[in-house]
Amino acid sequence: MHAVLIEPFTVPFMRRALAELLLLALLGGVVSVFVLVRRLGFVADTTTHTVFPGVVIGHLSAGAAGVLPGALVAAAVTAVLLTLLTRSGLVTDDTALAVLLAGMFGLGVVLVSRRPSFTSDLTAFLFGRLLAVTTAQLWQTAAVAAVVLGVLGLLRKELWLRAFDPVTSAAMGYRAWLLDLLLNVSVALVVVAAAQSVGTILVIALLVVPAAAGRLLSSRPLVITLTGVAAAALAGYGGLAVSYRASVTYGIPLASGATVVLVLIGLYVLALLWSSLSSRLEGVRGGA
Amino acid sequence: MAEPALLVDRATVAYGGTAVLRDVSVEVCDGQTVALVGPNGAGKSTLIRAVLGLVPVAAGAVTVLGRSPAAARRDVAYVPQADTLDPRFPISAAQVVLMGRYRRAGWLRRPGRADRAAAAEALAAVGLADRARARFGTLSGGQRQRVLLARAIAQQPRLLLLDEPFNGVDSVSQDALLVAIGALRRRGTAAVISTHDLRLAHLACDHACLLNGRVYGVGPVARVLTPDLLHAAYTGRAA
Repeated sequence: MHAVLIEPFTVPFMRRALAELLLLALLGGVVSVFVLVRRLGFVADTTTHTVFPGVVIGHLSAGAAGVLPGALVAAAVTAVLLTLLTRSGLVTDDTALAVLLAGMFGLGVVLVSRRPSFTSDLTAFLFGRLLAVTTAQLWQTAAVAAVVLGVLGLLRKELWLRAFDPVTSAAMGYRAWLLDLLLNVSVALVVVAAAQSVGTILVIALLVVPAAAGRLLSSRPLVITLTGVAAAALAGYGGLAVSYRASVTYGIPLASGATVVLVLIGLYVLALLWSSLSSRLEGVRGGA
Repeated sequence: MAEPALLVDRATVAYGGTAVLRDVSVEVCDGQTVALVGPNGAGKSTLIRAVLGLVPVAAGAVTVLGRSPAAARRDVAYVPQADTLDPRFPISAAQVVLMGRYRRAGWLRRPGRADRAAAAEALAAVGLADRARARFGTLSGGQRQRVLLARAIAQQPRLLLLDEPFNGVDSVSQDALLVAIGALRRRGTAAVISTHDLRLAHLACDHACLLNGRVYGVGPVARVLTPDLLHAAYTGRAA
């Protein structure tokens, strides 16, 4: 047990990976609750694909140091575009999102394909390098987490009302575009924070699954949030431990980021089973 | 005499170039309850949205408490149809009612003890004090409608706008809604209630405005909801 759960984290790069995942768990756990109640799953997925070309352009122009600025610019552009597109009503939301997603993703791939190290670069941009997380990256993630959690914490009642009853929210004088923009920026910032470690694609799991699992177990916002954060943290810890043990002891190389995502999905399935079991038990009791 | 709570003066409201409401005039004074009666698509919801400042008025004027609709929002409460809200949303009845206090609490601040007390009192006023902790979506349609009215009561508005509050509502909840609306009227709150249920329009309101793209009649309920005027409004012919 010790060999699986404790020993992997005596290695510095594993400790940094764990710290990064715990920060992302906190961030993703909280943001996913808003993604859930606003039904922004597809919007979040679009953002994961649009930040990708920003990462590529940043890397092409300034190397590793350019990744964060590139991702930030792409995230800001995406958040503004999404807010404008979904408000204009010119095209249906789904169409606008699909066009944006495919267009930006294609742009990213075209840009990467011009490099000789095409395949390995693409892998790194899409799936991150979790075990290569630096202390500087940890600080970046912590800074993003502080900003996003601060904004969402301060505006949670306004965002909650907007999600539950948009017409009354507007009737009370809350500006829908401002609340939407802040939430879209928050989602985009999570993608930015996770771009180098988990990658721009797998981060969708962190933006959707934690709260979805929490919602299966409770209908109280605080419990959903805490359960979501706990599930994501547990997945980060468990996924890292399993992938480390598999590669070091058994020589089976498991991609650590993807293993974390699979553990998170596993926890979601457990929550799903638990919720269907308990509702069935309730049905039996109610019917008796 | 004091200015009316709501003054709609020859207002025209258009959606995407087509006029939904043309030349509408209606006045609502403090303590008056006006039924907005008309068939589906008559523009009842549009008129309510214009009063909330959510759709622009193309011609004429809408004045709320002597101000523009946007400037009067703090004193206006809106009650949507309960079935337009997601029943799976993770929120309790008490939390829904507390939303009525958000503007008073202000941006960034949490509602305080006084807000919670006002919310509890409002929930009691619609007869649902014992369901405070129940999830909104687990309540019956009528109970959900009462929770939404409680939220509006917690806002302590001077003008209350209700969009089809009696639709699909059981008789117990209808009575509870009527009692709560009556209590508000005695406190001097002005109210506009859109409905196509004539019996409830008679029970809940003292005045009526018969609408179908334009006004077919406005005044005391008994003088407006007559067979002739109703027939004209529902068939859309000139009266």
